[in-house]
Amino acid sequence: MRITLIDWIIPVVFLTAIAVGGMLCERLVKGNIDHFLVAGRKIRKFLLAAAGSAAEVGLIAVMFIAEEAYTRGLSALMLPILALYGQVIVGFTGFCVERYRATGAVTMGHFAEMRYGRAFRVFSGAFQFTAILLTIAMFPIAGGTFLTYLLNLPSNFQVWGWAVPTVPVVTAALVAPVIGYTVAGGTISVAFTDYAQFAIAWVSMAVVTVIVLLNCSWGTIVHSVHQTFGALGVNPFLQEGIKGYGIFWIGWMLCQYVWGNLVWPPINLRIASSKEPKAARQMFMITAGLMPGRQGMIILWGLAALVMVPTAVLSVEYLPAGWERLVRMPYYLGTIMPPVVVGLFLAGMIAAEMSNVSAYFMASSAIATQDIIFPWLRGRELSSKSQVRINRLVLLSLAVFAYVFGLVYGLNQTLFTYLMMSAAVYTPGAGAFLTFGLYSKRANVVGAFAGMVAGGILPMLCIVLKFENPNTQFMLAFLSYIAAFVAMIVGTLVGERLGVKPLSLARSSGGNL
Amino acid sequence: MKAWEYFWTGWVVVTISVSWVAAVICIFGGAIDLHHLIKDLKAMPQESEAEDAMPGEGGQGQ
Repeated sequence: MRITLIDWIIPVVFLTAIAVGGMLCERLVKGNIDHFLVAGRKIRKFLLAAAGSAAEVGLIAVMFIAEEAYTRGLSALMLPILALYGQVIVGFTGFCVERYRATGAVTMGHFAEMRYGRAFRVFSGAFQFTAILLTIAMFPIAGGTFLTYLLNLPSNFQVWGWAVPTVPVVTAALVAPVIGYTVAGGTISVAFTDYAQFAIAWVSMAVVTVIVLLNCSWGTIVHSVHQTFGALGVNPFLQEGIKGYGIFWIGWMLCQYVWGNLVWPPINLRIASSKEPKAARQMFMITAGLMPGRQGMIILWGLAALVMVPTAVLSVEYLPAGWERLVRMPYYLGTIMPPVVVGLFLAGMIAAEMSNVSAYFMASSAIATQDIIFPWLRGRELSSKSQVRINRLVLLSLAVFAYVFGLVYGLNQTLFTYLMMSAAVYTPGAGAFLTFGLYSKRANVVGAFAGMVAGGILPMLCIVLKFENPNTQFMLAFLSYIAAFVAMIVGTLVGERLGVKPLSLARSSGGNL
Repeated sequence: MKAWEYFWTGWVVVTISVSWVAAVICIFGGAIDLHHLIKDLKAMPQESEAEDAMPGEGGQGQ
């Protein structure tokens, strides 16, 4: 690949403009925690959809979706089907989303306190924080690795005789400005920058998809998948080792794509930021048109990389374990893009990374402060300005943690499975307490505690014990949803026997933000 | 096998085409919404001027 001066100018100008615009949003925060966290609840449907869509696809998503294509062939196209299904269930039926927005809750923790009390807010907040911390820890390293291989940079460079690995340096350079503007402007910055990033990322992805198809035809891809994977490469219901998905994975994802959409912090914060309950539901209807196609394009890139790039040509000696599988697609794209397109694509992909990282770090700091730290400070009056300051400090600390953790942690499974399993520590239990909390007046705190523990324990076992067979992990993750909902019902019945009175949303004091 | 291959081919074409149309709508619609958001937030009072009321406190629905 030939990188010309214009290829550097395009992303630098674009990203500087975005970062400055994001920081200028600080003026709109006006020291108000409500503005900082949920943009004053004034965001309308198209901006919600654009920002939400941008926030959900960063470089990490680009890499893990492409990795699914290398390891599962055409079966990876199940991901867009499931994405569509999740958006349709929530968007067209309004399942949970309208009722949740109507409660006025700002975070899931806020809802937990309104419906089940303060102790449960802190308890569920700890699960939520663990899940998102394990997830965001992979974001910086993914971005740095993608860019290093896309630009075909050397794996290390010399500084005063020392060999410095390239990936950590690129990672730091990429993440630092994002954290800067997120610390300054909170969700208002994130909404503004996500919108701009959405626009540039879509244009660049469309152009690159055309180039990929010109370089490697669809017929060649299908033929190659047929030869490499056989039936496992086209039938997602089959599973053997790391290839294919199987019925348990599909069952798990059918649950994950519905409740994950509702309770996963960055998306949940987007629901809370919506101007009204209807706008929150409409956001899902619009993203139903966006998300499957975006995933489809990335899978296409991954499949083309599978055909065109033999693994032997890749230099991976400075990467953490497991990351060598992930670099095939960025390397491939780097070899086929002409000048100017490289600059446009760089701007688009860095933009995708910025929106993704900012939204996730923003949501993580909100959980840490609103659901865990502030409830412990009860009795001390914290002004809104102090809350904003603490949020910013936490955000910075999370960024440092994620940077270091990602560089030292090795993967023993696909990145997608790792991320979904980390999320599943929280999503089954949260799905249960949210659903019953919104639709049943009888749901009580005993049921909520039981559902949270039962839902989180099996995914945690998978992460700690690192089962060799992926199907065992898929089965346990699927069972975690059944366990969470059954435990929620049984716990509620036990609570009724013990005389525990459920809190009513209509009578709740609302709790602290 | 062949049936699956035809299915995935059709699926890729449909989803990518639909998403490009949806993206164009979101780019224009989002620009209008962003304009409204900035206008709404500018019209809201400074924290020091406003009462220190939290969303959700003392009632439902914002």
